[in-house]
Amino acid sequence: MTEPGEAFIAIVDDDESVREALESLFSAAGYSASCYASAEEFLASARAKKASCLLLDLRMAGMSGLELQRQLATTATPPPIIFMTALDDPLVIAQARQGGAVDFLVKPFSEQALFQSVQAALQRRPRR
Amino acid sequence: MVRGRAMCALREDWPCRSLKRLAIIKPGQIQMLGSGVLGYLLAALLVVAALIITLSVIPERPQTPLFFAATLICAYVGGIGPGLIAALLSSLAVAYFIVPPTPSWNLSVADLPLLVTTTLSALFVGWLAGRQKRTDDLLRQARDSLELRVREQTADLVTSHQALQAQITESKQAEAELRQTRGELSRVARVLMMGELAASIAHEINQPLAAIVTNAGAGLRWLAAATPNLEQSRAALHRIVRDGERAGRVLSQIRSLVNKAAQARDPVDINQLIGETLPLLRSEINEHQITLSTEFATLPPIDGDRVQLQQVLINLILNAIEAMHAVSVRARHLTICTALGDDHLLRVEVRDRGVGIDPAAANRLFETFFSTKRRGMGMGLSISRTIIEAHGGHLWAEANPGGGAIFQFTLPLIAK
Repeated sequence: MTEPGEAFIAIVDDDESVREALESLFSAAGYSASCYASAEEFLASARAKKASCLLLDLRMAGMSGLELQRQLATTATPPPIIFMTALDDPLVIAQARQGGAVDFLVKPFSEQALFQSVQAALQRRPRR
Repeated sequence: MVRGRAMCALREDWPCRSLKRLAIIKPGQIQMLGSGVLGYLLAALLVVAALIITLSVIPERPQTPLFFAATLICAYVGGIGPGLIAALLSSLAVAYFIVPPTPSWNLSVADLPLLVTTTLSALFVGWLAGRQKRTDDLLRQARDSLELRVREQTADLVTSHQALQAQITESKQAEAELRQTRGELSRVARVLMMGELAASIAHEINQPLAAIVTNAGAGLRWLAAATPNLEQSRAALHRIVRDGERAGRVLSQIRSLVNKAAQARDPVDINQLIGETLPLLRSEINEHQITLSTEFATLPPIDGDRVQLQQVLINLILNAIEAMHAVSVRARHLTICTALGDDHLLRVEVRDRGVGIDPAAANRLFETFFSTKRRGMGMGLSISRTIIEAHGGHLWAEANPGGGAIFQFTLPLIAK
């Protein structure tokens, strides 16, 4: 099991409440987390590229989560992605999984489901 | 029907006519005693009568006028044939009984002029009268046939009229059914629009809910640490309160949308209403990658039904988003402006850079059931216009220079 202290989780969601809550939760659990209000902000950040795992909202202003996934897929070492969404659209969920997402969480999700996904994602990340 | 019989009488041959004429003869039907055996008999009778009257009334100086009368009557009643016979008989009678010496066939040369003129005149009178009779007969025939035709056509008209009445009744029924269907469709359209809203609303509620659950979990963890972090857990609880209130606002908006209170008139701040409507549509805006901008002027409140006006805004914004769905050549800008117009009006504009308004469809945009969308029902703009006009405003569309459309509506300010 990966030590929380080693992992750095990037949270990309345009909803402020969700960002703040997740940051606090990961902090309490001992993870290092950074929040980004949009996909563009994430791409512009140098630190973001070191993320061990990406918690990504599907629908955002500007670039959507799916679009970001597509872009990251073209990079050398794309981080594992866990999608979040407030809408329950099976078509979209299927699309996201096809892109290689680790998991898909529908808001509101339980802590248990969240940490399970995070653990799965961290195990997937390529060892450096 | 005597007339019917008369009609036949004119066309059939004379024996049948004579037989038919033995039937009831009404006054005024005397002309129906047409040419035939009876006609010739009549000629003889009339000439004899004229002779007798002439000889008995003025025996000393018998005159010819009565014979003319006889000829005239006979020709008019019996036709040219009997008339000419009457003329000839009259001449004979005059020659024998009236031209001296009487009664004999001995005629002197001096009497010839009188006899000849008498005969010719009688023949002429007979011929004229006969012609007159013919004309009258033809006229009557024409009148009768016309009457028949009129009656036939009247019957046709009556039938058509009845058929038309039946059609009108059917049409009225269909109209009533159509009205009912429209009412149902209007409700369905409302529900569908609500369906579009429901997705947005679910999204709006799930966000704060997720945050609340996550904050609670975080708070518990902070408290469960070796050294409980009270500050962090307090912060988490504060966030829970804030997010709970946000969810509550969304719920009350749902309640007000579902509430069917008709024609509520309360002071409405249009800018605020737009501000509340946009988050409901955020998922639509994001999904279609729309760039949204707003330009709000300072506006006084207006009297209106908040729910209905929000419905109009949602309709216009969704239309704008959909119009830009197919466009990728230019950026998808959606602009919402409010401004104060003159004449105590405020104006709201929804500008898009979508496919624009097809000139062919321009006049029909606001018609009920008209839609350019593949699955559109064509209710939105029609309902929106009805709502705006019920508020005393106007809703119309213009082309956006550079591509796209501008839908704008005015609303009257509260008169002071």
